[in-house]
Amino acid sequence: MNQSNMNNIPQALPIPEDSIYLDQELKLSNRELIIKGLQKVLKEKKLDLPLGPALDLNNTERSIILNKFDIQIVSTGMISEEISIPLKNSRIEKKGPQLFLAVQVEEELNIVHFKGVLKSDEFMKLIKNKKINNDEITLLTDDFKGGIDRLFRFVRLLSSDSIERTFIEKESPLINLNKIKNRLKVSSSFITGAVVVALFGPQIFRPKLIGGIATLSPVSYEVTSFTRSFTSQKNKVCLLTPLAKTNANDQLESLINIDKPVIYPLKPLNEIKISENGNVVWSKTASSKNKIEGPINWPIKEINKDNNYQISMRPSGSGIGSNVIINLKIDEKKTFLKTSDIENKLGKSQRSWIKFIDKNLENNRNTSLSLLLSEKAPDSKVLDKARKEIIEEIKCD
Amino acid sequence: MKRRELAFDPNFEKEHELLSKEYSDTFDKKLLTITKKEPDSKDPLLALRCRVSFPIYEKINLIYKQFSNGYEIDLNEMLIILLDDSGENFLRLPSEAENPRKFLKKVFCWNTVKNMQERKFIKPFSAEIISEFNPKLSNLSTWTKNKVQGNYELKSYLKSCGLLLISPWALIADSSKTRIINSWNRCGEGELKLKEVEKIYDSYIKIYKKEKEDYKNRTGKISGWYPDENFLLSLDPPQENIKNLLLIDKALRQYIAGADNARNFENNEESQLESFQENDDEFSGKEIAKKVDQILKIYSSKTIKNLIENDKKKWEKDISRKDAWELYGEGYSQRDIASRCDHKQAWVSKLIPEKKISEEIAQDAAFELLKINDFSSLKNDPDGIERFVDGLKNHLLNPELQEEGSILRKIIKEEINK
Repeated sequence: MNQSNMNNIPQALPIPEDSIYLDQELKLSNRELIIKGLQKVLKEKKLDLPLGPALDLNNTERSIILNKFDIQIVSTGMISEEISIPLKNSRIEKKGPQLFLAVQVEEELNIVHFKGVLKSDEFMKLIKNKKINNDEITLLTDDFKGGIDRLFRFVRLLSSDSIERTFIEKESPLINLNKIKNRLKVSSSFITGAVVVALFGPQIFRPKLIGGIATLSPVSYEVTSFTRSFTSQKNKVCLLTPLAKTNANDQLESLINIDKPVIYPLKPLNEIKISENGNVVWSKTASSKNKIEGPINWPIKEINKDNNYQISMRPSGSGIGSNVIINLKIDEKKTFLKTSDIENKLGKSQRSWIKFIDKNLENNRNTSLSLLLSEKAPDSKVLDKARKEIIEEIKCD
Repeated sequence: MKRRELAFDPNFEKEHELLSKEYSDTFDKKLLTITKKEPDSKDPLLALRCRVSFPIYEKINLIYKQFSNGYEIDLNEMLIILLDDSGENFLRLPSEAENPRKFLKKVFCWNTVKNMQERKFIKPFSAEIISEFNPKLSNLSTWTKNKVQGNYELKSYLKSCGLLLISPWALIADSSKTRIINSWNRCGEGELKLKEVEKIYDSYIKIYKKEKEDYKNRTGKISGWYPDENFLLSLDPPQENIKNLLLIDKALRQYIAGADNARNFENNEESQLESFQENDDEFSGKEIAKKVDQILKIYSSKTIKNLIENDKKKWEKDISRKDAWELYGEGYSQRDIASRCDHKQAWVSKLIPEKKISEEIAQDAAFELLKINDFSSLKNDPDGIERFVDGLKNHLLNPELQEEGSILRKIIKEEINK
C-alpha cells in the first residue's frame, strides 16, 4: 500500500468524549476496570449512591445494585459494534436485571466508555426475534442509548420499582411482552409532555436534523493537472456531496442512487462540466461577476442507469486542464430513486420532508441533500435552518 | 529532529555501496542476513536502523496530517517518542537486573539486541522493530509502520489527546462478522472474495485471543503482538504473509470512518420533533414555570461556579482558558472559540462540555422538582422522566427562549464577570 493510498485511511480512531481514563499502571480485569470507572464517575459527580453487592462487585456473573436498581453490566471492546448479553440472570423470575448497562473497554490503555442503557422493556423488544445462542444474545452497541447519564437519570430520579425486572422463561425463547409494562406510562407521559411544553414552549425540542447536518464532513479532492504547476500549493475541490472514492482503476467514483443528484462544492469553482457517455452535455464557467459556488441542482435530464456520467470540476485558481473528475456510478445495493416520485410522495408535508431528509442523511447523503435543496421542498423553518447550517457551519480545511 | 551522518566502517560502506545504492526490499533482507551472520558487527545493524527511521517518520506524519486539524497533537512529541535512536555505536545497558544503576557499555550489534530481547527490555524502538522483523511476512517499511501502530507509548500519548491508536490485528479481532462483511462489500480492495474474507475472519477470531494471551504471558506486555508465520499458517486458508489481513484492516478503517462521520442523534429526538413540532400551545401554569426557572437557575449557578472556580487555577498558565469561557458566555460557537483562542475544537469541547454541564444541572434540578406534587408522578415513569430532563436541558441551552441568549451562557457570563 503506497503512501497516497493510505492518506484517506484513518490511522487512529476518536475516543468517545465521555470516556473514563483510569490510571494506566493499574493491572485490572475487565470487570474491575468497569467498576473502577463507575466509582470514578460517581465520585466526580459527587453522587452518593449506594453501590453493591459490596463484597462481590467484581463477580462478572452478578448484577450490580446501584441505588436499589438491579443492573446487568455487559461489556465489549472499545471499537466493537456488537455486544453479547448472558441471559442467565434473566431466566430467574423476580431476580432478573431492571437495566442493562453496556460498557466498552480498552484494556490495554485502561479506558472505559459507558455506551448506554437499556431498560428491561426495551431489551425485551429488541431480543424478540433474535436467536439465543448458548443462553446469550447479541445486540448492537448502538442499541444502548444515552451513556452513563441515562443510567443516572433512572437510578437517581425514579422509584426503584418503576422499572420491571427482566424475565425470560426457560422453556420458551420467545418473550412474553405482556409481562413487561411501564407503570403509568400512558397517563404520566401525557402529563409530562403537556407540562414540559406548557412550561417551555415547543421550541425546547430542537430538531435533530440540524444536529445531523452539523456533523457532515466535506471531502477535498486534489486536482490532477496536465500542466506544470509553478507553486507547490495543490488546488482542491471541496465537496459536501457527491463524495467519491478511488476505484481499482485509480479513478474517483461516487456511488449514487438518485436520478437527479445535487452537486455541492463548498469552495468556488472556475468551471464545471457534466459528460454523458463521454460527451459534454452541460457546462458552466465562472466569470468575474458570476462565481460558481454553492449547491447545483442536477442541471440536465434525469440520470439513465444505462449511461455513464462524469462530473469534471476545476477549482478557482486553477488553470485549464487542472480538474477533478468524478465518475457517477449507480449503487446497485440500494434502490434507485426518482426525485419526482419522492417529491410527489412527500407532497407538502413539512414533517414528511424533514423525516425523509433526516433518515437518509447518514447513509444516503446525496439523496438526502438533493431533497433538502430541492425547489419543490415546502417552506419550513427547520429546512431553512438546515440549509443555513451547511453554509455557516460546514467548512473545508 | 535532524539528519545525522553516521560513522560506518569505510570498508563496509564501500562493499555495500551504502552511499550510492538505491534501497530495496532485497537489500533490507540482505542486511538482515548479514546482521545475523555477523552478530558482533555494528555496521549492518546500523544500516538497518537507518532504514526504519523513515517509515516511522512517514507513519507519524500521516497520523499528524489526519488528526492535527481536530486534535491537539504535536508532531515533535510523537517523533520524540519513537525516533529515539540517535545512531550511536554503543549502548549503555544495566549490568544486572537487581541493580539498574550499574551500566555496561556495549557495541550496538545483533548480539546486544538479542541480549536485550532476553531481558525483555529493548530500546531504542528501532532495535525492537529489527529484532522481530520477519521478511517473509512483509517488507521492512510495512513492518515498521505496523510496529508504530502497535506502539504502547504512542498509544498512551494519543490517548491523552482523545485518539485511539489501534493495531490492524486488534481492529479485526474487535469487529463483528457483520462489520467485516459490510466493510468488505463497501470498501474491500484486491482479489479476495467475500467468502474468503469471511473464512479468514472466522479462523482468525478462533485463535487470536489465545495467541494474545500467550504473548502476554511470554513477554509481560499487553501491546505489540504481531501475527507470526505459525499464526498465519493456521488461518483458513493459510496465509503466507500479512497482505490479506492488512486489506481487511484497510476496508474496516474506511468503513468505520464513514460511519463515524455520520451524525449522532440525541435519544428520542425524532419522536420529540414529531410530537411537538406543530404544537403552538400558549404557555400555561405560569407559577410552575417560574418555580422551574428558579430551580434551574439555582443549580446552574452552583454548578457553573464550581466549574469556573476549579478552572481558574489554570488561568495563570493558560489565559486562553479564561478567554474561551468568556467567549462562550458571549454566545460564540465552539468553532469560533477554538479559532479565536488558537486551539482545536476538541480543546474547547473538553474545556466546556456543554452537554455534560447541562445534563448535570438538569438532573440536579429534576431531582429537586420531583419533590413538587405536580411532578412527583414522574418518579414512576421512565419515559416521562427522560422527556422531563431533556426538556430542562433544552431550556438551559436553547438561545431562542431568552433575549440575552441561553440560560447557561448567561450564567457563565455572569460568573466570569464576578
